[in-house]
Amino acid sequence: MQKHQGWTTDAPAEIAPPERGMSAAPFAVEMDGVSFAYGGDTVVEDVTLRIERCDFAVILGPNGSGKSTLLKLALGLLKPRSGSVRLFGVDPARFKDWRRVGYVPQVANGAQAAFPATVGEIVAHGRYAGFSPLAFWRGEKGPDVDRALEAAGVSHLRGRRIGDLSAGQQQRALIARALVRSPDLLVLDEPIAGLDAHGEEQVYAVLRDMNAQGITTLMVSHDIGAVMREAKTVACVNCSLAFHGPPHDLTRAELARLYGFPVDALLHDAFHEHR
Amino acid sequence: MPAFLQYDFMIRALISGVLVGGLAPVLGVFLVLRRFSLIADSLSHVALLGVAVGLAVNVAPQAITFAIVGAGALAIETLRAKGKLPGDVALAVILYASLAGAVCVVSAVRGFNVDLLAFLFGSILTVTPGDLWLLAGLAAAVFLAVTAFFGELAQTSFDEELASVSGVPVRWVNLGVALLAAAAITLAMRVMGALLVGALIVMPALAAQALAGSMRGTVVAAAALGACSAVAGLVIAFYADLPGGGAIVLVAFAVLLAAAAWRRARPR
Repeated sequence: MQKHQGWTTDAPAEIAPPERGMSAAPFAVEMDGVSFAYGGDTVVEDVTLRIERCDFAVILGPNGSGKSTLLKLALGLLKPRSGSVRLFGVDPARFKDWRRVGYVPQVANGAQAAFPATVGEIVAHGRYAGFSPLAFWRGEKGPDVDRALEAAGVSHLRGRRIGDLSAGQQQRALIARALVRSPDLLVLDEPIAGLDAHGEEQVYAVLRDMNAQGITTLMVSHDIGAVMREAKTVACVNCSLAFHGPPHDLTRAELARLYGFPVDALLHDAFHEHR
Repeated sequence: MPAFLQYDFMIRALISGVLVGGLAPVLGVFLVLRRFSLIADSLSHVALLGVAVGLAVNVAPQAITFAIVGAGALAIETLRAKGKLPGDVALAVILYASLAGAVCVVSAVRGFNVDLLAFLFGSILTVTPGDLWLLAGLAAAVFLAVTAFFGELAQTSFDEELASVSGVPVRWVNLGVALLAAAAITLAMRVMGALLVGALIVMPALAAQALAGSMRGTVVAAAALGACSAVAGLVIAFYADLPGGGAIVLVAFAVLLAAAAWRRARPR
């Protein structure tokens, strides 16, 4: 039995296929001098950032600092006003191999309403690899769906409608949907927003496992304490990039500069000792 | 044999009701889930403009109607997708512009002697064998499109950004849904009328959403509830001497109320 803090799974679920992750590009995500504005309101200014393979990178910053915008730029959901973005070495507009990317939005539009799809169906959506004329008849069964549900700890929710679940359960269902793709890169937009401590730990336990299996993780978060504990690198953003490096290099002074007031975070050194 | 089956016009009406009732709510499922259910109402008003223009030029009126409704559907979807206008505003703008255009065309063409009430409220009892073949073809096209593109339709209905990052061609899927809706409304308007066709697209879809436990189940239930509502409505209309379109929509409304009550009362 595999045991995490506060959450157990009966069997370890292997998700990542290492072969697909070994293409030429050394970085999962590269941004060079990227700027973006909503109308006249600049929210990302001249950001240069590289996310290495197998990193657990967290983008940290105050509200409205452009964190989620950076994620959307990385995924090609937004086009930069200037600068360039590469996903596994390719411009996202020309990127085709989306099976390598698993995305978990903060909230999915359909999960808010009484969307009639079951968790199993939502997770099976994640298998999408192009037009399949028998999609309707294929159903949601398959060992890949079983493994992803198990890895995210939502096997027992398989037949429940996604709209009937709690925010934490929905979040883990969306993580399972991302994992079923056997991604090389997992991109998450505030996956613990609105969750209680138990829900947070459940999500982090899944992410820890996946990162240990070699899945590059890029996440936006507000939770400074968890970032310090979980992340391998932190990118502090407040329109421009204020810091990028290991969390133990981040000082209280830099955090205070980022947020504009003294932040009392539990910082760790390189050996994860409190300092 | 029941009395209503002894008349050819009733048999044609029942077949057209089953076809329209089966296909319209299937598209409705995906429109409702996208919170775009009022597109049916807007497009049915665009269809009035199409009917007016088609009859005014008197060349292939049904094809002209479809061309105009299709153009309206593409315009609404483009305005929404590009963020030029919020979805509901785009629907309202196209609806009012089309209605004004229809009024002006009807008024401007001298000798325009068409019963517009038949297009507003439908005339299911005057459906011709030609109409039935067109409806059967459209029903087959919708069935094939929905089963073949089920993954794309379900994903874009759930979350467009999520679908996009999965590699789904969201823009093309949305344009396809808009065009199918345009075709369905063009043909179903003949049966249900411009003012009621939207009801048959939306109500069985909502009822199915309340009853079914899965996405696939919702699509199948929507088709079944729509077809059953059409048959029940027509039989009631025959015996109670009511207009067919209105009776069908009232049955669909009763089914929706019952489904909503069941969902509220069901054990969780």
